Amino acid sequence: MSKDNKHTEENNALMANGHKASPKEKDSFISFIYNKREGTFLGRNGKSWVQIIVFYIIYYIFLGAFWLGCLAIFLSTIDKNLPRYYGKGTIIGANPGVGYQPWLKNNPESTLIKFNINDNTTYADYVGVLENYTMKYENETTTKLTKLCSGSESNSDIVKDGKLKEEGLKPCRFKLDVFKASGCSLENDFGFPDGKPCVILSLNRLIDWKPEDFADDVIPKEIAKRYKKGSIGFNCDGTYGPDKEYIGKIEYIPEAGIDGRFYPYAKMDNYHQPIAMVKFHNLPRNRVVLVECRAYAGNIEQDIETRQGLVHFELLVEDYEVSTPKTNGS
Amino acid sequence: MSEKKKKREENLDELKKEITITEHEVPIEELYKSLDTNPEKGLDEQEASRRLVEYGPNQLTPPKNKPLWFKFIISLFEGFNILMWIGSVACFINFIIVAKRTAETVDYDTMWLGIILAAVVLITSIFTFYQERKSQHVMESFKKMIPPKVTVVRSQKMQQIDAVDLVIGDIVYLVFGDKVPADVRVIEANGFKVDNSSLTGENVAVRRTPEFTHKNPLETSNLVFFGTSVVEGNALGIVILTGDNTVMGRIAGLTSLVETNQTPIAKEIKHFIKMIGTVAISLGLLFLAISLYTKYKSGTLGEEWIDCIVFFIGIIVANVPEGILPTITVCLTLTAKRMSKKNCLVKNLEAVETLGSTSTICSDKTGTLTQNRMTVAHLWVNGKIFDSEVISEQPRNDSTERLLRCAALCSRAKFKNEDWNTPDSKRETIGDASEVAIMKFVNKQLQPVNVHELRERCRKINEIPFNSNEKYSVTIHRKENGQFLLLMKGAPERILHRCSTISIDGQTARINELVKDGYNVAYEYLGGRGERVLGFCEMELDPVKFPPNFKFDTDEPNFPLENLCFLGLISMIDPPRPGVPEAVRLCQSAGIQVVMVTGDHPITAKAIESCVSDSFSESARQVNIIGQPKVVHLISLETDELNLKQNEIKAIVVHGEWLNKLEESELDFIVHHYDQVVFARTSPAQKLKIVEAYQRAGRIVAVTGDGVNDAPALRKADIGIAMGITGTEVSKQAADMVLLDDNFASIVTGVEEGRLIFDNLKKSIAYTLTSNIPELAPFLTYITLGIPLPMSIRAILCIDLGTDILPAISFAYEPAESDIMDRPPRNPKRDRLVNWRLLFYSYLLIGVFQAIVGFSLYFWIMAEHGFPSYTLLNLKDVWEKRDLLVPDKYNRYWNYQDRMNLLGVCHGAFFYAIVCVQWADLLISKTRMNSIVTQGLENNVLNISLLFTTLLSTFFLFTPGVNSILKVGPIKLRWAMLPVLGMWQVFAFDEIRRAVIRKYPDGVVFHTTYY
Repeated sequence: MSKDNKHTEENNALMANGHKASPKEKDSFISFIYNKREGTFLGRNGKSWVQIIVFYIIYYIFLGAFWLGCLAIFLSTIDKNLPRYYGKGTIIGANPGVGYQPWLKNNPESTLIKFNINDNTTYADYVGVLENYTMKYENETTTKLTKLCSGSESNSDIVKDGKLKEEGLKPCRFKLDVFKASGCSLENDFGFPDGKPCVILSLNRLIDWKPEDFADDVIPKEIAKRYKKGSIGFNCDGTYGPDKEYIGKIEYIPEAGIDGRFYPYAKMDNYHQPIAMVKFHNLPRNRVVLVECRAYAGNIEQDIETRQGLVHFELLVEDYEVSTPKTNGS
Repeated sequence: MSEKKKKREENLDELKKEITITEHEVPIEELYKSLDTNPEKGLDEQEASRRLVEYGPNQLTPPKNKPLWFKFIISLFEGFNILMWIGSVACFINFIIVAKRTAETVDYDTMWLGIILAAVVLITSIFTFYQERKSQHVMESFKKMIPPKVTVVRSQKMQQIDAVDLVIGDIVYLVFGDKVPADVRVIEANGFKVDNSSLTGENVAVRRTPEFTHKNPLETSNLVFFGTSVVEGNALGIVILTGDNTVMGRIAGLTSLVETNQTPIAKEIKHFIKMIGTVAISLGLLFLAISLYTKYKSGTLGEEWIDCIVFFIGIIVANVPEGILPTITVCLTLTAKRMSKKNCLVKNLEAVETLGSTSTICSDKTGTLTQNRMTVAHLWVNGKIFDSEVISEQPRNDSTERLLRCAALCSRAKFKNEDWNTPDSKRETIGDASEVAIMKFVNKQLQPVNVHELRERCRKINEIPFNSNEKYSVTIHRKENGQFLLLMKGAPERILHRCSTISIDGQTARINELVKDGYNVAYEYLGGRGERVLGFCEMELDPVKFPPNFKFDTDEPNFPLENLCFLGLISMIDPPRPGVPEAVRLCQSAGIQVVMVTGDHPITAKAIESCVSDSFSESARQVNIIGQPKVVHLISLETDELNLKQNEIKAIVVHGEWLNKLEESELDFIVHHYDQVVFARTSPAQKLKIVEAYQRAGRIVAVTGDGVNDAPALRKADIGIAMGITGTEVSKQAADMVLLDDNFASIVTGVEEGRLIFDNLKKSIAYTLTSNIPELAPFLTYITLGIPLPMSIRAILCIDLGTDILPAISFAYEPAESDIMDRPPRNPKRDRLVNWRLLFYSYLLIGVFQAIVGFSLYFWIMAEHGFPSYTLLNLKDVWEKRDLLVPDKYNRYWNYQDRMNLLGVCHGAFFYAIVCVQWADLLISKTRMNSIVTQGLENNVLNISLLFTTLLSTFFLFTPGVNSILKVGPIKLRWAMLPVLGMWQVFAFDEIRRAVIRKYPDGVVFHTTYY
């Protein structure tokens, strides 16, 4: 065997390496999207696309129909007057939250009630909301479907297991007289022009919930003086130290809070949601006050974390002189 | 980029040019002077340590790797990680902006999400990185190649030092069994022979002497090289080059400069990431635009644009299968482990799959296809050919005995181990491969006498060693009766030429034409089988002419070398390894072309090939090629094409010399048109050329090799396979895989595993991708329909990194669906790991199904809590306001906390719905074609993963604390039944789909849904 030859060969071959880079075929993205030569779009030709589309349409129609059917059956098992889950142990629970008015629907994120006593345009919206809210209590068509309750009469009489005992029973009527008497009505624009705004407080409706009384020895001191058995008491104060200082006199209308006879709630056409009002008599001017209102009953727990049993909002009463061009504008 | 490349090429050229050594040409005294050393005294210790500092330690520096931390940083930004980083950064920006705006009630949600996303990237990267590193660590054990100790003369003393400390000018003493520790010039030699196979791949012992015989350093007699081994004798030498400067070191350096191709699986993963990335980003941007537009229209863009970013993050997170890259890594690791049990040690994880894609295997003959152990195959004695296996059953006569005696005595081979009780096959031997083969054969035939005893009886008096001019070797023995016996062995034609008589059937006859004809037939027959044939003859010397005290002179022969008595022929072959023919057949049925590349003679090569592969045609076009190497354009393309069509001859033997003369296009023609190709008489370096030709043809090429010269080809190949036993360190370093048993059959198991893992990765990805749609759809409906978000990013991560992971990994254990070795190798251009069909199937078929089940459950739960579907439309703005109360159908007011709790339950339910339908998805993904009934449920890891998924999802949903962190609420049993219905439906649907595919293998369903 000739060894000379062999090793020179090897070296040649080693040298030849590295110069052999042949141009590689490149998958171009454009040719993938539309390949003219093969008439394919996104890698498939027309017939294939029609097939695939037809296949999927049929598939989706069957799939959709089946599951919509399923869903329809499931949903039809749900009582339209009684939710499947209510009360203790469910998500919504048995501890009501507190709501307030006036709250502007067009600016839902804001809980600030801000107005200028010298400019009626700044509080017109608030007054409008309150007016709207209270109107249903005096609306002829709805009041007709309620009854005046007195004595021991209450909604408990007509509700059983979270449902109206029978169709057509009338719930108790809620009357606004007490608010009118305390200067919280449309007649005085709910106190806004005087800088003494009225704010409505209410409890979130919970099915099958009614307030329980405090035992005599555990009545919270905040409401102890005003507390009346069978009612839900309210107490408002500044949220933080400085707010507490500035908040001034607060009037509770009615004093004892919401009368318990309007509970429990059940799905019905003319339920009169009971409310209470608070009137802020001497709020500071041009200064934001953070307010916290808590609801009190034997079965209401207040929890800042979950915002149960209390509500926060802010008040800002201004008294700047209104310059003419501004008012002209509106 | 191109600058860098240029520099590399310059480096390459420089390395190639440098292969000039002159130390062997100069007179030895001059060399001593220039190296400042002395053959008796050696270097003194100070000088040696000074030189060690100057030239560095005597070892090969492993190819320079980028620092670990750098590699890690790179891996942090690979693949989907970039998308995840974008998501994470967007979260932080969102958090900062929102935090600035609403100073008092800071919502830490987005910040946590940002941290979680970043953590996910970090953890998955660390995991993948660790896995890949770990498999590389296995190789560290192969580092030691040079002998740990070497005998040197230093400070006038003979002493043992670590070979690493060897320096230029050291005087070293080499004995048989040693590995040459550096490039050494021989000063004194005593029957010194080295085996250069680690350098050249040629397994032949060559004599080395102090004489300068050739200008070419590899040819000259007075140089031995680093990494080669001493097989006989001993020598004293002077070290002229150490470490990386040695010939072997330079080739190793050259190897590291050869560009390697990306592995096929890496290409597939890249392609996959590209696809998913495209989908994720385009969907993300589309919905970012939609949400920005709706905000713009409602005039709240100024304040709420930040929300749009959150959607964007959600879409990206939902789209990115976070767990899939670690899953792929784990699957590959598991397969690599399984392969190493079957003697395939995988160095580079991705190479696991490469073998499965391989369409061409360029295999060595020696050691891989064959046993690398010369074995006596036939004898020609008494005028007949006998198979070596049956010769012992044949009646013996004097002629046979004489042949055996001659074979036993006229040999330099020896057993190292004198213990005659151990079987011959296990005993270490010294000597030339064919001499050893004959010795072992004869030792068996002579029983109960052994070779050693026979040699004792007939002591060797003198000998003429084998020489390539005369092509024979002669030994003279003194028999027990004092008579001398002259024995000769060598190339048959030369031996016959020196004979006048022949021993047949115990009689001595004159050689006549009849005998010659018989001899010719036998010789041609044996030669044609590719066997190495040796002839034997003897002469009993006349005791009168040669009295017992006669002095034989071998330089000027004073004894007869003519008119001897011919005894017979013994032929040897390196037989195929057991299992190799079956393995080759398997490869061929699997559509893999096995190309034999060998240094052997074409006839031998062809013989082996036809031995190994049944279908290798005897009419292979070797003759016209070997015969006329001078005609360059032997293959005229047209006529050859015609030939191919007419004769269907698909086999060819290409001679190495001829290979050099072929033009590239001609080589390409061979590569394209012949199924079976044998490259004979090739030097290991020509492999590179062959590999490149096959790669040009679009093949995925596996190459086996063991020599250092193979290293560039191993590197260039898509998968380089080095030999664990015979392979050199450099070849192992260049390779992607090491065959621990050097057996070709192991490659086939590798191919099988590789194909299986490709299929299983496909299934695993199909499984994982499916859950992307039910993860994504909630965000899309959230943006377009404005319903409260049905599925949270947290829950998505719970699926992608929690419940989906183990099932996805369990696919690595899934048995093959059908006989994967019965189909051709995948076409790397068409058979992608992830194609659009798979995406369609996963996303639009099963994914949408899952999403529908999830939404049904969501709407149901919402309705049961007083929010029927129609009330949910565009509810999200109100729903998410902290201070708002939202009335339901029963006019109950829901505060923020209750709403979020309700949503948490919905998220939990949606999560559960996906987990549940993924159960079915796991079972249907087990097969792409077959029914689960045929496939069976034998994959216990997969079965356990089903259980694990169930437990994990239960843990997420119901463990207090865990579910509040994940913001998923516990769900009720009644709700849980709905996804179970969906699960069975998916399962049944897909069984039907696959049944349709089996029934109409070319139908619409196949074309639209088979991935």
